[in-house]
Amino acid sequence: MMRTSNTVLATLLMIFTAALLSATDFGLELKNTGGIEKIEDAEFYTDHKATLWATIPFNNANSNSLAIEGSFYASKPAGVDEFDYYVDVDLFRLSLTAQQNEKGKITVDAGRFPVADATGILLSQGLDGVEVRGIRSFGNFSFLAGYTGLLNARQEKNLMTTDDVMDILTDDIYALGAKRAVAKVTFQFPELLGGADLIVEALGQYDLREQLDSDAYETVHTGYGTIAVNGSITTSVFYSLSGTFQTGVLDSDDTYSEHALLGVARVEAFPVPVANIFAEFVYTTGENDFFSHLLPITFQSAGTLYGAGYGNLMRAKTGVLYIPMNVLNIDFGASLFMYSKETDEADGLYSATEVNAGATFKATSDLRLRFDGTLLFPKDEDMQYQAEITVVFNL
Amino acid sequence: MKKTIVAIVILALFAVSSLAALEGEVVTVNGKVEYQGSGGSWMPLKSGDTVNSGTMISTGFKSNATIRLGASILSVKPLTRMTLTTLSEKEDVVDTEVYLDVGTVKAEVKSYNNKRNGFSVRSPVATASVRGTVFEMGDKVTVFEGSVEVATSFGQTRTGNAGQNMDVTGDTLSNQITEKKKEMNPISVSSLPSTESASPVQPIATGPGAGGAAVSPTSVTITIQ
Repeated sequence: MMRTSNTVLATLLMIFTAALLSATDFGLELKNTGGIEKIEDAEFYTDHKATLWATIPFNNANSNSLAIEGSFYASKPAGVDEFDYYVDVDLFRLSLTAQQNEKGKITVDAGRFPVADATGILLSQGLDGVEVRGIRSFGNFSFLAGYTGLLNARQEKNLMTTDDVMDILTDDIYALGAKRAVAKVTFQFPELLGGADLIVEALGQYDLREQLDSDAYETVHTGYGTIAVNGSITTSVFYSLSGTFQTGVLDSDDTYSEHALLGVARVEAFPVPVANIFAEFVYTTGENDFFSHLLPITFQSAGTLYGAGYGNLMRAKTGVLYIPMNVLNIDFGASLFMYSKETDEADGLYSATEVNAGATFKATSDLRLRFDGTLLFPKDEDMQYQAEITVVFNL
Repeated sequence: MKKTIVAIVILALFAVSSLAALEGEVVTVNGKVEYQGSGGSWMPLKSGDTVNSGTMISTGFKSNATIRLGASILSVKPLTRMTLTTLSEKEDVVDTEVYLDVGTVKAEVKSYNNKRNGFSVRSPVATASVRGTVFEMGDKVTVFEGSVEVATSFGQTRTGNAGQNMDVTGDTLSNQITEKKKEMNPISVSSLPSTESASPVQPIATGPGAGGAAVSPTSVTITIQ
């Protein structure tokens, strides 16, 4: 009797496993980048990433599923002789449809997955947490809560304090990220203001280093409120406007307020079906009696070679994407970087100009190549450049 | 009591006279086009045939039909199955509703007898309602003239104007800039699951860069009216 039960159980397990495997989509992506960069001296650099991925649906409608990505990284930055190796779980996303009826739909993502805020400047990284997304007749909403302390610090760049920077400077294979709790609430109202969409978003992060790290030197807690509208000027010209107020407290040898403003204005046009041009202006406050620098949760440089972040910045940027054929995309861009307030180190507001050109070529459905070239003209310094090629192969 | 009954009868007659059923006329047929007869069997549809509320029409490969519904023209594209669910004329409005099971239809909506035209195309995921226009509906709604209000099955609405497309295959309707970017179909360097965005809110500040996209690869959900 026991043997029969075991046989039935084993058979059911085999059927379940076979069914799961037959529905599973999986693959291997190899991404290899090599290039030359001249900031002071010309140096070669290389990055290699091998990613194993799988998506496992739990039902026929694919409304409940699991997506996983794990990568092996090997990189040799410019000016460094030795390779740096590490492994990482880039994605572990369990997606469930919690409710679906005539009133709307609610989906839940849990695990590790990419997140971004409405501006794309404050938060743009992976996160361990839960996101609940809803669709209703009035619009869309999402609630996000997560933790950054289990992420790989080299990957996600949560650089808000001196302690965060120190976390990255470790020889450990896996450098744990900054210990922060992140939360975000977003509402999007389609065509609320005439033909324009309204987005209202509240984002915040709480530094847990005081509670979890006895050696903490600095902690910072910040909150951000964003209102954005986007709509059309004509049927082929569109605009986006957003304003963000940042507030926060930095505890170091003293306590500092972290108030700042971020404004983004963007116009984008589609003059012909195969081309897209845009102009964008980003403004963030400089330091004065009330305001300090913008302190995003995710550090991103404001340019490709222009390495400074989004604090004390005025950036005017324009670009074009042209698709002459399905297998070839060409893009050009130019950015002008200025300080929004003069600093002690720099004379005047002008900082640098950067020019980018790129091309993406789809050789086959599994093989894509990307060429990038960047020139940076910093004020009172020699020109810097970077040229690289990326090859992505899917198996 | 008698007066009340007479009044009810008069009101009922008035109501019936103000809601008259219209008939549509098949103008052209190319290839294999069929309609479902009263017995459930499929019969060939021919030029000059009349169609009315409840008629189901099916077109085959490389086949199409043109039907006049009042003053409006409905073009039924290849590999389409649709039902004319409502075709009626009221005192001040002509109501036309088409249920699109699968495929594509194009509608040129015009005023009939100087009456307001209530013209809509429903599909399992969306409803496109017309405001004096020419539009096509399949997996997306393409507006050639005028404007079309599209509603999702959850009741979210967006308005498409001449020259614009709206994808109606998802849960929500994208704004027009997202639609334009999807139409350009730029090459995404990576095709990993993590590059697919589940959020209907796309970040504002993006630009040509890695991935060759002034257009970030997105998957967005949509609905129509």
